[in-house]
This record gives sequence, structure tokens and C-alpha cells, in this order.
Amino acid sequence: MQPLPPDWQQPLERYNEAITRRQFFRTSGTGLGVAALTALLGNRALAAGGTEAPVNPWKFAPKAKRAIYISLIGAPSQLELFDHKPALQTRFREDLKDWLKDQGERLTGMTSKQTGFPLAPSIFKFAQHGKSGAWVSELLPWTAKMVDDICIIRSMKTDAINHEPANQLIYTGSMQNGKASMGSWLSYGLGSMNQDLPAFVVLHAKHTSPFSNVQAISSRLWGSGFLPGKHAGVSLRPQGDPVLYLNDAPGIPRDLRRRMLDGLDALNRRSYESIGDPEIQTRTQQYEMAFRMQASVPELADLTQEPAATYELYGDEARVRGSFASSALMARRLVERGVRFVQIFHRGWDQHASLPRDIASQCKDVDQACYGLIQDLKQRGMLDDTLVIWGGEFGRTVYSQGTLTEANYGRDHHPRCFSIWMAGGGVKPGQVYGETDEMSYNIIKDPVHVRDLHATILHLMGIEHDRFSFKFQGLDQRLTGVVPAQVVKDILA
Amino acid sequence: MTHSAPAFGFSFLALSIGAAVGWSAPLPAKISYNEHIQPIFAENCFHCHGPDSSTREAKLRLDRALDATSSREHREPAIVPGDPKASPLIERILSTDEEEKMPPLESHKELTADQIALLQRWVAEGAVYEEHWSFRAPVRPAVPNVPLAQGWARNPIDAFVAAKLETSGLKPAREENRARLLRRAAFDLTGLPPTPAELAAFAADKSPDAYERAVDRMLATDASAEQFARHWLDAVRYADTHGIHIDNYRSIWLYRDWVVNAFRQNLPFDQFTIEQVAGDLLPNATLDQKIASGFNRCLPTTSEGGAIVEEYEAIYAKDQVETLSAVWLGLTTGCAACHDHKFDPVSQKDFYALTAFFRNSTMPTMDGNRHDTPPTLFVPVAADRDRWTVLQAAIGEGKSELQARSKSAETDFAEWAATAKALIMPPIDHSVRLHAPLNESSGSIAVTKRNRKSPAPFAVPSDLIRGEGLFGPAPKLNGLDLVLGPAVPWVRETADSFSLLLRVEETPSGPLLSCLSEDETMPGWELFLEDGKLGLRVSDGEGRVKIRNVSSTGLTPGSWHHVVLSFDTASIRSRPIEVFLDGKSAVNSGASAHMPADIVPAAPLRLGSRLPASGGVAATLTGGDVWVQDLRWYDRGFVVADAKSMAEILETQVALNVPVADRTAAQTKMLRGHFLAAVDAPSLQLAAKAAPLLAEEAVIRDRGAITLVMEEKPNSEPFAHLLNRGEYSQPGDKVLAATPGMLPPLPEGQPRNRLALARWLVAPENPLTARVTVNRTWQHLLGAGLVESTGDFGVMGSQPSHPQLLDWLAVEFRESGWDYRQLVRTIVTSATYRQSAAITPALLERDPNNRLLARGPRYRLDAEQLRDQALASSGLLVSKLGGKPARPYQPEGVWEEVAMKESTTRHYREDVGENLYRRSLYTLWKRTAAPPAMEILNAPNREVSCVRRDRTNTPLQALVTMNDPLYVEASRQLAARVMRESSRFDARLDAVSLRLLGRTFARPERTILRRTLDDALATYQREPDLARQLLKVGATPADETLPAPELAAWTLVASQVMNLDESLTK
Repeated sequence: MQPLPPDWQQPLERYNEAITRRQFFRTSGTGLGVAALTALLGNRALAAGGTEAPVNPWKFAPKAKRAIYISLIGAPSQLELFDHKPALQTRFREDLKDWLKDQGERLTGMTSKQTGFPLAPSIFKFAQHGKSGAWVSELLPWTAKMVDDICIIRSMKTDAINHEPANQLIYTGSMQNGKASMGSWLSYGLGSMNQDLPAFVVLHAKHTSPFSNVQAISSRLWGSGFLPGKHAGVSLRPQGDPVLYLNDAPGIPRDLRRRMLDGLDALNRRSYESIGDPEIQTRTQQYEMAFRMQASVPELADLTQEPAATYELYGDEARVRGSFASSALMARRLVERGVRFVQIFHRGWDQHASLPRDIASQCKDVDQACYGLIQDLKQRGMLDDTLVIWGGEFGRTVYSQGTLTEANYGRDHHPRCFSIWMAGGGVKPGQVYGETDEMSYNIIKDPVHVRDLHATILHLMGIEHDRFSFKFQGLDQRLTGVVPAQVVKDILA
Repeated sequence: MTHSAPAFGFSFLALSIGAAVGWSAPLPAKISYNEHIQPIFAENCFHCHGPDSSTREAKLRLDRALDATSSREHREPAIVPGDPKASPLIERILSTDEEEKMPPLESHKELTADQIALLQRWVAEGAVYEEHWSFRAPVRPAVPNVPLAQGWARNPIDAFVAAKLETSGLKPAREENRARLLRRAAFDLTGLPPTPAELAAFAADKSPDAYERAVDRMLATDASAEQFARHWLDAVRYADTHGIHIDNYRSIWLYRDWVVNAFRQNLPFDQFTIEQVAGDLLPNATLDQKIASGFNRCLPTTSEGGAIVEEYEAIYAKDQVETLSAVWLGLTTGCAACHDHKFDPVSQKDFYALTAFFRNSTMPTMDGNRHDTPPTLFVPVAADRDRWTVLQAAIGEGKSELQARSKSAETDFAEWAATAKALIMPPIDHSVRLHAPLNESSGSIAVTKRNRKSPAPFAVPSDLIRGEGLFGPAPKLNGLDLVLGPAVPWVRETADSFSLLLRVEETPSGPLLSCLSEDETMPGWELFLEDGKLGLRVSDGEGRVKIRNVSSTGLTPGSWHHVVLSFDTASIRSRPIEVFLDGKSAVNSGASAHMPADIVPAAPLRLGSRLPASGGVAATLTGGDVWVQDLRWYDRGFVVADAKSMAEILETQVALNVPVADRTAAQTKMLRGHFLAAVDAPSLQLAAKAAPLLAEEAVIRDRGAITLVMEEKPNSEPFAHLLNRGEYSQPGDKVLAATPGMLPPLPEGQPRNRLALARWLVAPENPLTARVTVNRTWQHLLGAGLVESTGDFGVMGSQPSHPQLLDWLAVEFRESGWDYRQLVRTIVTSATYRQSAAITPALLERDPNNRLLARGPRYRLDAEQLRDQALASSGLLVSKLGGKPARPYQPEGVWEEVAMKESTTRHYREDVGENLYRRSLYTLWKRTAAPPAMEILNAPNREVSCVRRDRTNTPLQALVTMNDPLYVEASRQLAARVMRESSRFDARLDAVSLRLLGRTFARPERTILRRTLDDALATYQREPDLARQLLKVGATPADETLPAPELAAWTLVASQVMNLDESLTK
């Protein structure tokens, strides 16, 4: 595996645009440089409806060269983790029915028919940590240790009240089908920094509790939508082949595969000589890249060579293939090798009932490993230019869904406020941003809409969000959509 | 827009720009609004000065002549035709003042000098506007007569192409060599490679119309219908799951088969359109026309717990309109959901008027996660259709007779009800496999057996203890080891259920119905008691299925209870295993409802005991007494409603013991029901007469299938509310169903419903449908449409490369009676299509995307074509038309990593046998996790309409065609096939290449392939184990008559040829 200097692809793409097909044609097949270029050109340009390569007026020097997005599917409760509301302790079981009416907020079909809306204070203890004095609950002891490395945003808000549309909004910028995911936008805009790995890699981390309420996700959350298909996220899988179909069939040794590919190359070359279609060369190069991936991916996926210290940092769970901890470790290995965007999906955060039991096990899955990841990046000097984002798709209600007891309750979906954290990559560390009202219901200070989060992530990655567009169906499609979005300047380092 | 810029600034600037920049291209002789001006406006101006009133600046609208040239409240017109100097439009685009300049700085748009010059000339020439080209009905253009066409053109297509080539200074390419041309046509027309026999016949046919006849032969095949259907299924976003949230299976494949059949019959495209959009509304709609209306049910739907109905109604309506617009009209109407379209004259009102057509159906918004979300239709297989009709009539007649008897039986009933002391056990119906009444007062137990699975003889103990039952004495189970029959396996797509009456004393524990062994490692299932509660255990013995659930409430000691154990994977419901107690759900298999493995127990089916560990004594019931009665084993599944009505027998028993005078109306009703079902001789006679009919009906039902169809709300006029900013929560004015204002209106005096819409789509005056359809067809055959933006014929869409050719094809298509096959034939028999695809460097530079058509099409095959090619060339292909979705090989975990626990498409289980080798269009399509090998090769996810597939070239694709077990197996089968045919290297190689490339290899190529074979052979002879491993890939066994090392080596050669660019490309 040959890590390439960051940003190497952009000059190449510009070069590609500059050279004519003719020059390209004439110089093809003369060496690896051109061959690699061919591979990068990828698909035949389909100019119609606008699919031309992006010109880059939107690009500037980035703070973050790569990003890891930890997606907690199901929506973790802000009230249990970061949004401390001590005053609610005395209001246990207060019926919020009338108060809710005044809020004018729609309720989901799950609680809209509930007769009472008993206020459920969190049963978990909070304490202040670090120099910043950020409040973090006892459910996240490891996160608490690193509050000075991260920026907690307690004032996120979204438009969607159910999982499907909310996940689509936060990971594709739109509640409608057919849009491009955040990772594919970054792949499209920034390209890869490693010729042997995709620019956008997706990891599916298993949750451990059998009780957790698991929400569905779908490939549209990492799909390329209207962007060219090569920008879709590639799943690195904990079972079977780490990348689909990566391994040769049993009984085909590596040297034989090499010779088969040599023959393939020789045959394709003849075909190219008679037909002249540059796509033939591109194809040969894809086979070569596939061959290299066959070597580089297993090396990447092999965590056994990590020293014991790594496992101390991420926790022993990191030895379990497919666990969140091993995914976090894998994310580090991926960004280390130049992958632009890694997204970890961890499901099971939808606690409509038995919230105390289930959120505890979910937190246990991720807490130490998140700490480990941040410290690991820091130790390697990579945190400064690696952006890490942690969060779900919306928040949860202050009132209990279903029966409320001293020890047990559930919370319904709540779009008006939720908490996330960000770290590294140009984010101001040790900060708590935004504030909600006494009920953790409405934002009273510094709201951050999902589109603002997108604008901020793009900004940190060196992209001006309002100029970064792709023409599709006659429109300049943007990750941040049509409603104006703001970069959250206050959280920038 | 204000006019403060000093007048003298203008001329100065105009001069300076002209002088400084210079024109990079000569201006066209005559400026055309559509060709030259509209694209500039669309790109730079319409966002603020276009059709969308909500974002319009300065009240200026530039897309319509009247608006652009009239005064706007206190402002002069933006354009003064004939006078650029006096036109503020020109003034502003020339301005250097940042405040004044148009387009404004913040838009990041800038006009080029050429564009400015064009605008100036256009205004000078009178600023003549034209209607957007695609909104004008096509008129058949005269076929051009150009010298280039002489001797080359084969049909009018070529004349249009030649005319364009001539003005471009290019010449058509030579005709493609015959074999390659046949292969190209075969893939385009059938999706499959030509067979060696077809190649040979074509090569031997020296007649001038040999190619035309080959085309006709291919067009008449079923494979051709499958190929055309596949394109259509992308457009209508056909899939086999609901798509949103739980993403359960949905039964709509009969619609897919309808599409295939429509192409088989070459159904005229107008009829094809009408039946899909509104087949249900046609007068006296046939079964097939109703199935066709399933088009309206292909949309992704949800049943997410918290989902808000109004929100999804809006989402669905938008999706329906977007699909209809993209497929037939080539318009991107979706933009108008939130605001008037920015570029096309589609207002927000137009959009919602279109949604109204789809908002008048009886389809529930929440799909209920059911495979059969209503409205649905049961469709018997073709051979049963006539019989089904007869049978329905006969069954209906039987029902009437029963009803008549029930009326006349009142006296007999009253007499019985007044005197009866006990209930009579109701007779069994056709779905009962085994019946043990368990009501004998002494001696042996009688068992009725029927159907396919005949149990072994019932072992009858002599010392049964009996107690009082509902239908006479009931045996006590404790201590008994009753073997009812052989093991009952629970496997996919079957149903095996049980019902029984049960009474306990105290809180017994132990097996009730068991196919389980004491040894935990064996697969099995069991209904058991634990401390007086019902429990369910299921295990596959390997840890993939391990269920042990116990009901939360116990049985009431001393009372009779009704228990149903339902196992049903035939109807694909969310809970395939469920236990009902007294008509209520008591235990189920838990969230992991859909079992990743079959349960094939070794232990026979026992009542009241469990297979003993070897040598031991059978485990039986302890901790309390257990009596049973009326045990029935069915070949069907039950839902809660069934269980509830079955459990009524308990209340009937109570009713019987109530004095006649004190019985409630409900109790009398229950007793009457019992009387008619179990006691009354005339009723029983009638029921017995109907029994074979019902049994036959069940068999036909098993063979047939349910499909989702469309149905209009009765007595309701379609309407919708305009939604402000597209928000479902902000309904505005009510609008009635209507077509967009810029297109011809619906005819007067007809109901404004989907049928009217469907007919309007294919009305001769509709300017879009024919053009859009011929264009999409052209794209499928030539690689790109004449209008490259296949789904967008609006202002922002691409201009047609050959506008007259497009119109000629559109008119020809329509006037041919919408003959799709004829359209395809015309295109593929043109000289244009037949050109060689070879490219010279000069041509590549001149026309990299082949817009001018100076060469033939050459593109990578679609995902389905690649897989089908592997199947066909190897002989694995199972050519069977239609049917349930197939589940071929798929890597483990692809479904599991996205699915919810409850989903019926959580566990992917490969089929066995022929379904592994069906054509790819039959592969089960789960929307949230599309078949991965196809997705990697650019198949769309079928969540939104796709009228143009992306075509990328990635390393992941190379991995698929090299390593997907299907391709490995196909390579092996192809190798075995050619090895059996000949023992000579060259002959074998020819047999491989003919099947994949349609040609034989040249000598230097043979040398390369020989090297691959020799290398591989050396390896496999040295390490025969490797050869054996390779030959094991795939479900079909390797041909053992062939030496393993040689077969493995040829497998690698076949795979190498299969992976050639030439194999992967048409």
C-alpha cells in the first residue's frame, strides 16, 4: 500500500480536464502514471444533464483532510448523556399534556394517542469534567475523560420526527430519496488519498445487547444518489470477505491470479489496438487495482498485528470482529491509509421503553472505544487534521413514553433539540456549544440545524458549501440544500 | 432592477468588451431562441427571473416574451425588441458596477463574451421567442436527401444521421463485422449472447436480408420480452419489498410478469400505458388489466411506528407524479412540489393537480408491513383460471344453500338448544392432515390421517386415565409417551399448525407437542408447559436459531383452554411462528421471526413427551395433571382472527350450560353456529358436498398468488391540496386533478381520473410521450439518448443532438400504432446502428461521446446481462418465464447488516435448485439492500424511477466478475462443457470464445491463452487439492468424468475469457 500525499488527486483531476482526449489517447499505455490516471478518470463522461467533473471554485485549504462519522442509529437521548437538567428531578411525573399543547409540536404516531405525558427526569448522575467543566453523565465515563478534546453541541435540531426521514436528512441532506450521501459528496469533491482503497468506507458495528430496539438503515445512507456510482460508500465487512467478492475463489493461488491477469492485460491490449476505445485501458487498470486491493485490504483488516497497547486503549472488545470498538480501531487504520471519509453505523439507540437498561448497554458499546479513537489519533498527530463527529438523527422527549416508574421509562422521538459532539480537524476543543430550555425541549441559544452541521463539516474539509454543487435534473444540487445554511463559526478552532 | 446606470456607459462598455475579448466563434447566421438563447437564460437568469413566482426578483420574468417585453409597474420593459442599446437586459449584463451587473456576483455565474454577443444579436434581431421545443407536438419532418446517405443509408434514420455528419465533416464508419454485429444485436434484443448455432446459421445465410431476419427471430423470443421488461422495471422502480423502515417482502411479482408478457405480445405502447396507469378503471377490466395497475403500487411505502399519515401521503403522491413525469413526460416535476418550477412552466398548482390523480385510491398509507397490503387480487395460474371461475360460482352456490338451510333450520335448532347436553365435535376440513379426537370413553384412540404426510400408526397405551372433556372423556397425558408420527420439519415456504383443547391442574411443566430431543444439539421444536404457562422452543442445533420463550400468563387450572400453534412461512408474514391461547397471542418466536435456517428435527412428533436421551426414559409432564382433546394438525397457518373464532368453542360450552331462558343473544348465536357446523344433518350434508370444492380452491390458491393492484375510492372526485413549501402540515388551496397548463388539456366531459390521465399521456396531441419513449429506446440501443438527459426534456434538459430524427421517430412510432417492436427493429436495422464501434484518435478527439453517431455503440453490458451471459454460455441458465422472485447466491450478511429484527427480509436464504440460475430480472429485489453484485455493476436501487443507468468502471466490478461464486461456477461449467465437446486445445478454446465473444481467437491470442492454461495446469497437477477446492465452488457438482486438474485449469481459462473487456462489453 502506497499512501499518497494528501490532495494528490485534485491536481490530477485538473490535469485531466486540461488534456484533450487525443493527448490522452496517444500517451496511453506507456507507463503506470498514465495508467493510474486512466483508472482515475473512471467512467466515460456523460455530459448530459450535467455530470461533468467539478470545477473547484468552492475549494480552499482545509483544516481536516479526512473525517470519521460515528452514526448512532435510533437517536441517543440527550437527556441521559449531555444535556443536564437537574431542575427536573423535583418534577417527576408532572403531566406535560397542557404544556405540550402550547409547544405546538407534532408528536409521532406512537405517543400522540397517549393520555398523559409524565415528565421523566433522567435517573443518571451527571458531573462536570475537565477544564471546560462540561456536564457528562455517568453513562459515558470515558467520554467524560476527554471533554477537553471534544466540542459538545447541545443545540442540534432537525426537521424530521421519524427515523427514516431523519436519517436521510442527516446523512444525505434531504428527506427525499435519490440524493447523494455525505460521504459520496466528499469522495466526489475531494477524491481519494490512496490508490488502493475507496475514498468512502462504511463500517457496520454490532451492538451487544439483545434487547436494544434496532432501527433499519439502508444503502441510501451511503449511496451516491445522483453522483457517479464510484463515489458510493464501500462497506468493509466484519464477516466473509472484508470487501464484497474480494477474495479469489478457493483454489486460485495468488501467483496464478497474477498470471491470469497478465494474460488478461495482454489480450485487452490487443483489443484496444484494434478498437481504440480508451475504456478498455481503464478496465485493465481496474483489474490491476482490484489485484492490489486483494493484498492491501486483508492487511488493513488484520487487527492482530496491533500492539497490546492498542487494545488497552480501545478496550478488549476491539478484539471482537465487528464490534464497535474494532470498528473504531478500523476507522483509525482506514484514515491512516488515506481513506477520506469513514462512517461507522451503530444501531440500537431507539429507546421508546426500558431506556435505562438499553441506553446503558449501548453506551458501554461505544464509550471507551470513542475515547480510544480520539486519543489514538492524538498520539499519532492525526487529530488536528481528522474530523470526528458523533451523534444520532434526532433527540428524545422529556416526557415518558409508556409507563413511568422510579427506575424505568422510555422516550419518544424529538426533533427540536439533540446533542452531538465533534472533535479534531479544526474544531475548537473543550467547548460546550448551545443551550436548551429547562425541559430540553426547545433550543434557547445557538441553534444548529442539520444543514448548518453539513455546512460546517464541508467548511472544515475545505469546501465552501454554497458553491459546492452538482447539476442534476436541471438544478444545482447541494448537500446543504436550498434553505440557506450557516457555518457554525463559533466552534471553529 | 433599477436603471441608475448612466446611459453613456453602455456603448463604451460594449465597444471595449468587443475589442478586448474578441469572438471565439462565429455567431450563427440566424439566432434561435431555443437553440441559443434559452440555454443562456436557463443557466444564468431563470433562477430569479423564471417561472417560479416565489423567488422572482424585480417582477421580471424572462422566459415568456410578453413578460420580458412589457412594462412592469413603473419600470420599462427589460427587452426592447430590435434595440439592444435601449434594452436594460443588455445594459445590465454589460455593467461593470458590482451593484448593477447581471448575473449578480453572489450567484457565482458569469456570462461569456460569446453569450453576451448572442444576446445582443438576438435582441437586435427582434428578440423572437419560441415555444420550448419539446412542448410542441412533433410533426413528421421531411427525410433529408444528402449525398453522404447515398449507398449507405438503409432507412430514414440514416438520412438524418448522414445530414448531421455531413455538416460536421465526418463520415460514417464501416459496417461492423457480422459476428460482432450479431452479438451486439443479441444483447440489445435478448440480453443474452448468441449461441454458436445462431452464429453459424447467420454466417451461412448469404441472403441480403439475413440480418433483418435474425433480428426478427430474436425479437420474437421470450428472452427479448425479458430484456425489454428489465429496462421498464428500472423506470417504474419495481422491487419486491416495501422499501421504507422494516422493508418487508411485498407480493407484486405478477405485475413484473405482466410487463414481460406485454412485451411478449408486443402490446401497443398506448395500451401498455393505459393498462398500467389505469387498468383497474377500464370498463369491464380483465384480470390482466387489473394486474397491470400494479404499476401504481410499485412505490416505496412505510409502516414505521411513528410515521405521520399526512406526511407519507404527500411523499407517496410526489413519488407517483415524479415517476409518471420522468417515464412518460420526461419532466422533472418534483421541483414544483415546494415552489413553481424554476425553469419549466410547471407551477406548484400544476404539480398538485397531478398528484390528485393518485390520491384517490383505497390503498392505506401505512402498508402494515404486509406482503399483501390491500387492494390486492388473487391470481390463479393460467391453467387454473377457467376452473377458478367455475369453482367460485359453485362455492358461492354452496354457501347460498347453507345460508338457506340456516334460515330453515331454526325450529330444529331451537329443539336441539333446549335439550342438548353436550357439544358435538365439529368435522375436520380439507386443511387437516391428522385428527385425533381424543374423546373415546375407553379402549384405543382413533386417528384420522390424510394428505401427503401419513404418520406412523399411533401407539395406543392400554391404561389411559380419562377425565371430562368438552366432547366427551379426555385422556390425561402425564406419564404417556405418545408418538404421533414422523418428525415435522419447519422449512421455508411451508405451513404446519396444530390446535388442541387443554386442561391443567396445578402448574405442570413438560412437553406438550414435541419434535425435540433431550440432547440440546439436535434441531427441533416444542410446545411445552412451564409452571402452568405455555412455552415455545425452536433450535436448529447449530446456534443460528435458538428460541425459548414462555408466555407471561399461566393457564387457569380446571378450565379448558384452546391452544393453536401456528407455523407458517408460506405466506411471508412477520410472525411465522406464533402460539395463541384462547384466541390471543401468547408466545411467539420473538423478534428474530424469520429464521435463518430450516428446522429439520430428528425426533418424531410426540404428544406429552420428549425423545429420551439414548437409553433413558422419555421426559413427560410433571407438577400437575394435563388433559387434552381434539388435536388437529393442519397444512395451513393461522392469524389471531382465526384463533379467536376457533376458541369460541369454549364460550359455546359455557353457553350450553346456561338455562335456555337465561342465554344472551350472543350465546344463542354461538350455539346456533355450533349446531349448524357440527350437529344439523342437512347442514353437514351440504358442507360435505362443498368440502371437495373448498379443497380444490385451496390447492388452486396454493398454486396462484396475490398481487398488489390499484383501486379507486368510489364516489369520490380526485383532488389534492396545494402544500405550502411542500410541507404536508401546511395544506393550502384545494385543487382538482388536471394536467400541466403548458401541455394540452384533458378532453372535456370525461371524469378527471387516472384513466383520463392515462389516455391523455398517449393522445396524439401529447408532445412528449412518443418523443420520450423513442428517446429512451434509442438510449438502450445506442448508449445515449438523442436527448442525453433522458428524464428531462424541459428547459434545463439537453438539446436533442438530432431534433428532426427524434421527431421522425416519435411520429413514426405513434403512427405505427405504437408498435414497440417495430420501433426497435427500425433502429437496429439502420446503418447507423450497424456501424463498427472502432474509434480513431481523430474521431475520439472530435466526438468523444459519439453524439454525432459516426461510429457504432460500444458499452459495458448491464449487471443483469453480464450475469445472464455467464449463465447462458455455461449452460446453467434456466429459461423459465416469470414466477416468484428468485434468490440466487449472495454473500452472507448483506441483508442482516441493514435489516430490522422484525423484517421478513432480514435473513437472506439462497434458493436451491433451478432458482439459482434464473435470468437476473427475476432476482428478489430488496430495496434497502439491493442484490450486491448488481448494485456494484450500476443497477439502480429501485427506490426512485431510473431512466438512465450510471455506467462506471471500478475495481469492485472486476472483483464481482472474477470472484462471485456464480461466475466461478459458470466458468467451471463452461470449461466442462467444452472439454466434453472436444479434446483438442483449439477446438475447446473456440467453443469458449464463440459462446462469449461470438468469434474465434487469432493465433497470438491463442498463445496467450495457452500460457494461462499451461500455468494453471502445472499448478493444479502439482497441487490437485487446489483443483478440487476450485471445482467445489457453486451448487452444481463438478463433472467427475473429467480430470480435476485439467478441469480446474480450463475453468481459469474460461474465467479469463469471461473477464475480457470484449466479453464485458457489447
